[in-house]
Amino acid sequence: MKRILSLLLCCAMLLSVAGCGGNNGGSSAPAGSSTPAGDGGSTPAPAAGPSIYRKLYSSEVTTLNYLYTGTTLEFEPAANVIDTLVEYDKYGVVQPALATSWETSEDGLTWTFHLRNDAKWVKSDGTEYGPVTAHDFVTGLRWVVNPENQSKTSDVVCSVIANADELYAKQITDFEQLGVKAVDDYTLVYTLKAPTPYFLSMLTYVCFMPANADFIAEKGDKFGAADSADNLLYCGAFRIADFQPQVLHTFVKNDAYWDKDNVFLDEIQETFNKEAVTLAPTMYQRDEVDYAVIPADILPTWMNDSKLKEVVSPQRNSYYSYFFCFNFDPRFDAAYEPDNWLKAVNNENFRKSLYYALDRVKAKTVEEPYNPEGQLIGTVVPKSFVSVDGVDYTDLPALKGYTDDPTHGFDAAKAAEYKTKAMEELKSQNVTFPVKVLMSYNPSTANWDKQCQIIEQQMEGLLGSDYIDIVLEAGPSTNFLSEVRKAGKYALMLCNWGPDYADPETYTDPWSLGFTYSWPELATDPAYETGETYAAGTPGLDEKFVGAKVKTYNKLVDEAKAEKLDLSARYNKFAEAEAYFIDHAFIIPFAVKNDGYCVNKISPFDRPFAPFGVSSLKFKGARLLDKPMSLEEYQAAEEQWDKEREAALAAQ
Amino acid sequence: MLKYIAKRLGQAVLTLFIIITIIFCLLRMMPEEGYLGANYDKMSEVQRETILTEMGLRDPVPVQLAKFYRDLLHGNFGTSWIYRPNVAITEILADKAPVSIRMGLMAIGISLVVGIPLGVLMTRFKGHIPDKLGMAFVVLVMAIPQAVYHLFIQTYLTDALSLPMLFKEANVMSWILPTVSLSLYNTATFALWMRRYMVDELNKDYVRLARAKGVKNSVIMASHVFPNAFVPLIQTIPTMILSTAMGSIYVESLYSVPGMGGLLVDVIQRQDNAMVQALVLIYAALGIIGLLLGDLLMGVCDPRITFVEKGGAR
Amino acid sequence: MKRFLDGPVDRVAESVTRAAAEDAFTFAEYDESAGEKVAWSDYSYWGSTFRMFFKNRVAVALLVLLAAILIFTTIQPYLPGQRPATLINNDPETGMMLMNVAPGEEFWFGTNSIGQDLWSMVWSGTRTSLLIGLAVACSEIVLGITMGVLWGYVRQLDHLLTSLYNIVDNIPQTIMLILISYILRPSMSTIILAMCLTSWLKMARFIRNQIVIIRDRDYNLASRCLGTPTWRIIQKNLLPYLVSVMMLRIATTIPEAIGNEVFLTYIGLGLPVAIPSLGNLINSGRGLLMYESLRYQLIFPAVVLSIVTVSFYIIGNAFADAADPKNHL
Repeated sequence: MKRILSLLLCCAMLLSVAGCGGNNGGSSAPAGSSTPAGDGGSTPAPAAGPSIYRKLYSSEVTTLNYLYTGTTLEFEPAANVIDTLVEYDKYGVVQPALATSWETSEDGLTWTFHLRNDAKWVKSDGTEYGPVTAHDFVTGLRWVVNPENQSKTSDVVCSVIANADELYAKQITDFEQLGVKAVDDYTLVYTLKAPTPYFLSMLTYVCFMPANADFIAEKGDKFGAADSADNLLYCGAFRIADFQPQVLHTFVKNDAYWDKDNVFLDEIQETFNKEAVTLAPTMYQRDEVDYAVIPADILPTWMNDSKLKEVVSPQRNSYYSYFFCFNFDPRFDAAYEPDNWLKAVNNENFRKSLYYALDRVKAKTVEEPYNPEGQLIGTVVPKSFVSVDGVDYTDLPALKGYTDDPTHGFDAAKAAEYKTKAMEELKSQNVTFPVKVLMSYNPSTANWDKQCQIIEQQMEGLLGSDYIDIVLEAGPSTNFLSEVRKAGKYALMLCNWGPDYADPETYTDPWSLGFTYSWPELATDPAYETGETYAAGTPGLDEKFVGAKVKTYNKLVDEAKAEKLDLSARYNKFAEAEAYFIDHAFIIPFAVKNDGYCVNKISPFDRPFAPFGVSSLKFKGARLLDKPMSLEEYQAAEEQWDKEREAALAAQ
Repeated sequence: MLKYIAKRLGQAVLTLFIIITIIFCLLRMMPEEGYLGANYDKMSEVQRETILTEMGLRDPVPVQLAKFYRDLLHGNFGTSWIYRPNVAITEILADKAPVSIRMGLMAIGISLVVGIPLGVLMTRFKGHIPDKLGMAFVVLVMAIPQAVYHLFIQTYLTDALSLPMLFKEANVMSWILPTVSLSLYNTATFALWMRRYMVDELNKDYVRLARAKGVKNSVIMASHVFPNAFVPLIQTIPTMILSTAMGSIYVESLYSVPGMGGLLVDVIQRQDNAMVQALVLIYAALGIIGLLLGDLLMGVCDPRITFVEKGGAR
Repeated sequence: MKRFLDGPVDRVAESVTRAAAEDAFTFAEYDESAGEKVAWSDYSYWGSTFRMFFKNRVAVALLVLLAAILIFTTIQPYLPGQRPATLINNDPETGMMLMNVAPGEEFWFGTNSIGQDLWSMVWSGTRTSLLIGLAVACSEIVLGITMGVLWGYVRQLDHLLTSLYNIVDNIPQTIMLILISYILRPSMSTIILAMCLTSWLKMARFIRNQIVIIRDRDYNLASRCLGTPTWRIIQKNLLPYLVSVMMLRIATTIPEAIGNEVFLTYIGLGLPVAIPSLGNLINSGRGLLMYESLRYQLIFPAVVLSIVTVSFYIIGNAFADAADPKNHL
């Protein structure tokens, strides 16, 4: 018995080893045939041959379904393989794409788009599936507002399209009532809830992308599932020829694309590697990839090497705005004295002393040791986000002072002056000194912890540890926002906000009533009151605010929002509201997001430019360079681009 | 013996049932932000609630649990929630498991072929240079964090031996380094334990007797010491094979091996409950099977062990 | 006490009791000096153990080294001229951070990318990691021994604890580690809790098996029949066995705990950088391996970690060997 069993076991082991060997040969054949370049990793891309752009990616997309996803990571394939009605060119000017022309009704509620009739859907292998028609946009939008589909971007649609809210909340069930209609195959009409001057800019977002109804029906739940390139139809500049999750993505130029003459890359090869951050720089040096982020901690070695220095350039600033929030609704642990903080934070001089005491340059140096000033901003809305009459929003009269301030607010003398005032006033209110300032951070965000340490040391050094005692606390690395910011478990914290559409209104959301950033509406100083209270029945007002005092900031913002037609007046009003907010030190504006330095064989200035939506993720227009740009070349290119952009905006 | 196996399997099913229930309930304690992804901040309350309801997370836990078991009894692991929505979990695993298994089996093969002779060699020359060299190797592998030495091997050996940095299934050369890296730890473990068991065995009376009788040293080693020392080791081998075949997060992340290595960490971090449950089930089942196989193997190799139920005596 | 006994001991004790009831025998009071009279020899367990241990030169050297490291990490912050580990050092002239300063006279281990003194960070990190290791080892010993003794001695608990063991042992340790670190916020106590939750069972099982094996051995049976009190059986007969096991477990638990901490940091669930630990120092140094001028930021913590780990393993093994009475002759 035992002998038989041991024999059997041996056989089983042998078989399993042999079976694996056989399997090896079998499964490698399709993998080999699908990558025409073979072991293309080792061959440098010659200028004459097809231009292939190779990069690593460290995080796999969870889905290819652009109507479902809400993460930037998954917007990137969508942006490159699905076309939108309009698109941004490399200067950030709206250009016709799938729509050739459009018009709006007098009341601003109805937008009619005329579509081009030569756009095609293709399959993963490049074969044609059918034309892209107005019905596809209706299908896409209906999919998004259907709650069963759990789309992560449905709120964007609900905020603007007529009846979307009601459908999403299942108050009505007839999708015919959704504010989007295909009049014929090539005419599309959107009906809006309210006049929206920035509607055009929203159309570049994923939730307004088209989708083919027949194909969705055919695929069912598997539509856009991230296990094969066959689960999607393509109508953008590229199609996904090969998609092997956590192995590789191959994007191939789409020959059926209407504007293929402006697509210069023949192929984009993305290879999965979880440790891309660590390995990519080395792999670039061995010519195995064309793009690598150079993290801040190894940047000095690259910059000090005469050869490597020639290929390192910064990346473009994004439009994620970072600012420090003063919490007016502290709900943290009694050990950090929330009541004491509440008294202190309601004193404007106290807030101002902190506002002037923060050395922005020093705090930014952790992430960007070479040019920290380049990312600092004195306002919430970043530079070149929107402009009116040729004037950038941040240069409007109300904000110009903050924008032009070379230190962006850092002023040791003023900090000391406000400190004296605040100490005097607060002592009479029995505030205990030093005031404990709970600064929370997410330990999994790179460099945030180090930045907090620097700020703690710098501000306590400047203002004196008899005045403030900054306490650092790491929040949970998961669910950080709901556990810390939403729960009010901080006193002063770095927060951020990214724009959703091309209008300064998008940057006022964090402090609108009922939002969970820093609750400035709870400030107790009577000087901030308008004397009015919120009346019941105000549109869009949460019932719990009925009877609450209207604060000046909220009033200024509401007035600006009401100005729908005169763009210049609208922007100026938003600028005034923002100036008021900064002037009274409700927040401390800080910087914009930047992913740091990189080596990149593509010039970022060739790619579409847009502060929001997904246009800036497109590789359309990008060309493969012979060698990556150096810092100097980058700066020259940026200067050139700035000039050309100005001209492009003026010609608009 | 069949009765013994049946009994053990019966116990295993019960154990698995309890484990999966515990994990299921633990997972329901995870905070909700994670289910909603990066866009959490911009969602409205209505949207958040709708999505959570549609995911079935608003049902009472017993209802969710009942549904899960009903599907499981139908042999249905379900589809992934977040990791790769709407893709069947079996498909995901069928995609990833073969690579890890193949590489793991090769690695464990190397470990056995290198580690056990190394252990024998170290015993044979106990206290001399081969023993000390072997010990240095064992100590280094055990002491230096895996996170460091795998990276070290990858960056320096790929350059020195001009091997590819990343794994590609079709390229045989790219299998070498990850497989060798993967085998290091087990090689050291096998060598260490082999040496320890053999040294223990050498001190036993029967070996002294054999020596006194003038039996040749090589014969003592080969026919007495080695088989007896190998028995306790063989019990752990199935578990080691199974756990190695499930992949290593370090090696797979570094070399881009599309295996199972980091999958568990990945799905827990993304709060893909369906995937976590399925994986826990698989890992626990494999653990139990590994132990069972180990006991059986030991019984096969060691005539002193029988699977006959003893009459209650302890 | 009788309730806890089982097997042959029970039967012997029973017959003794029965005999006593029949007045055939009378109980003799326990007399310690009488016991010593028979048991006396110049053999001392602890003496032999230490003698054996001190014969192993390598282990002794490592023990001294480890003790030195332990003492040094404790007193290091109080020594003159030490910088706080998280202090960012600024250039007094420019006011900017002293970033990536190579090891030298001013900073013995150099500075990191924001100008923190690596010397202080490494020792502070060693302190954190050792603290985690010791805390895990201690709780493992307390929990493991208590549960192990109950498990081995109390028959009613045997079934329950065995099934509990089967369940917990089959949940992969990684899952428990990750789930706990995930649900709670990252801190020392979370990490310690996550590790303790899983590790004490191994210890408990070990103890239980030892107790089951030893307690019914002839000499214990004899001791009990002669009326030796339980505490004396435990102290003289069981403890020496358990001590070697315990030492071995501690010696492996500490490096295991440090290794687990490195793993948790690697997958992003470790301690925040504001609390330096060997795990997060090594993790942030990993990316610098390829760069000769920065490599020191990885090498220093890695070397200290390796020394600590190896020392524990080797000392533990040497002590376990020395504590085994079979090796005392």
